Amino acid sequence: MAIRPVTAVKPVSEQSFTDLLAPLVPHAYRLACAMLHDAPAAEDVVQEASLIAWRKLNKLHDHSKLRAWFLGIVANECRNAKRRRWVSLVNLGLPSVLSVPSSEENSVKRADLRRALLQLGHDDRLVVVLYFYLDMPLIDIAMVVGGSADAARARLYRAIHRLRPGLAIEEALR
Amino acid sequence: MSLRAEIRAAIDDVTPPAPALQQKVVAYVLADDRDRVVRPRWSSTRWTRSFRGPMTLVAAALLVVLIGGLVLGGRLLRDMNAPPQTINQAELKRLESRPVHLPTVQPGAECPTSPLTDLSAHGPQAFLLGEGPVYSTRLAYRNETTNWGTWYVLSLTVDTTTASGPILIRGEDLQTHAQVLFARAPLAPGYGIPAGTVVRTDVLGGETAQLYPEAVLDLTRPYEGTKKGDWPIYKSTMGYPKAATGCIGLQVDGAGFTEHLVIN
Repeated sequence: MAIRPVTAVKPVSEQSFTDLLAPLVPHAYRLACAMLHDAPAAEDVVQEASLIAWRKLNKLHDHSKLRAWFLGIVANECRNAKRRRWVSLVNLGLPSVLSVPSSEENSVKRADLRRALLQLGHDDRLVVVLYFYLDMPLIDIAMVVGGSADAARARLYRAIHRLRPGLAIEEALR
Repeated sequence: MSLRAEIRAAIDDVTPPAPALQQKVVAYVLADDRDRVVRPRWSSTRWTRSFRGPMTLVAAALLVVLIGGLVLGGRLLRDMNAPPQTINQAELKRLESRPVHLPTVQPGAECPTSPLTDLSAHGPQAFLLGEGPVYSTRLAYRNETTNWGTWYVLSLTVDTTTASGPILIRGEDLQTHAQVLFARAPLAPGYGIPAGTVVRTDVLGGETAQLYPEAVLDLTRPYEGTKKGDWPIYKSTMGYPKAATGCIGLQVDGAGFTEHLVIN
């Protein structure tokens, strides 16, 4: 049997995807759910973002930034998904936020908070989700959003103020 | 309750567990772009990404239908007028005379999938299985499941700078040794031509199809989706019985080479 090597063809390890990106998929899914509040759409976003990341992986030279870089792609795909969401609404005839089935006060509060989150701008919501839901430090959040850590902090404070106008920042950040 | 806890609780309400997502993403990323089964909501949103009103959407849909009709009509006319697919029978006999030697995988052992190779310079799909001159996508999305077994569209890319003449494909499940079979469908350029003696029949797409133990690639007629300058793509409707494990070994024979591909 003769197997001919092909010049200009670069063998790669199949493990590289499963080693590098696959472990980040659950984080990406949580971020997408938090941004979109729509689990099927979040799965679509994660799939597409993973494909984009896989194709561009060789351009990332510092693998210590992989998580922030990948979540940045996910966030960008979430933005695109939000832009085209109106089509889903036309197709399905469903509201973007479903009514809360339970009348319990906590459920209503959570639904109100989700509505408030959805009313934030994309970058403000992203900063809130990364900080409060994914527990990312501001320096990493800055890498995802783009800009400095100080700018990310200022954006976070503004978003908190919009979510809870009467709440002191120190209390909110606990 | 802190704002952090409130936000977590609120978002957790809309974040159901997705235990299979990781596997789905891996399959999605490594699958052939063109073979990927796109979810309807995704495809519809892609098509309409640049549209911003229902009336525009209706107009776009009509345009798509019109273009689709023209493409399908043109394809049908071209196929009807195309010359019959011909294979050099003497060369085919020579390839068939080579014995099939595929490894055995012990029950429970990991499928020794062929290594991935970066072919991004030669086609739309960056990573394909195999070391050449024939490369395959993974069997990520099944085409049809029947009473007999499972059917996929096998997608192969051939380095035609080193391979020429007909290429013979034979295969089996590496654990059960169940024979892989090929169907003559669809009748289109770029699809492998089933060869050998009819083994059995199966119902595919509502019609009875004859199943063969071999498929032959006619390198002069690549899949019509092949872009100019890329290495040509060939496809084949391939199935394996229910008893098989899905760890499939293919022996690829061509003039001057024999290659083993292991896909799953």
